[in-house]
Amino acid sequence: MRWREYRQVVAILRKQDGSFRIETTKGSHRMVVHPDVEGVLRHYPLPYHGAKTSIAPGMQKDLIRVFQLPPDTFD
Amino acid sequence: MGRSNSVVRRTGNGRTTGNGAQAAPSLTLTLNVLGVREDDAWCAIALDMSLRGYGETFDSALQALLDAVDAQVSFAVQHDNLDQIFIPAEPHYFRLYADMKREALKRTLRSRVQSGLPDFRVGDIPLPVPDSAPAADARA
Repeated sequence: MRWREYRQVVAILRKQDGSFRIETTKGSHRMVVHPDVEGVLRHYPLPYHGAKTSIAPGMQKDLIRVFQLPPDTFD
Repeated sequence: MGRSNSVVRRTGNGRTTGNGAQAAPSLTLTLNVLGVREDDAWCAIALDMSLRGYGETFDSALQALLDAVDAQVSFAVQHDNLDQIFIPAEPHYFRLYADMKREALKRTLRSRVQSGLPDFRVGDIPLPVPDSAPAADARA
């Protein structure tokens, strides 16, 4: 797993599941939201300073855990 | 390699409200934070929430984490979804945190001064009160 741009991470998530949506929050984060992870709403804040913001591998792993995605989602 | 810290949230400040009623007593919540080095950057991990912040220094990573926690808590409050934000980090981070705390305590007890820059850190940061948090009932 490698560092990816914010826009790449969002594109991968949406390709994985069309239910993902992005919402703005206060501060320098965008909220990744999925309405149904085993029946519950889940959300995870990603840093956002523009579409090219670097997203660390660790955050991508957290996205996999929080949204219960396949382990190879970001491979 | 790492460093630990805690995030603290204070709700209710005990101040008198506008109509003279007393606000709820202070409550402090703490989140354990572990700092680790990843790819030449510091990563601060909130162990109880699976959130991360990155920075060139541990303190800047901690600030980035605080921003993420603030965003997560605010969003959860707005959507009445606080039950879903406490997702534990991977178990090995908890073990590393415990090890770091123990080592830090031992160093303190021995009054030893560590030479060079540490690879592990521990500490506390305040958890911000979200703007949309419900206010204390002033009519009580």
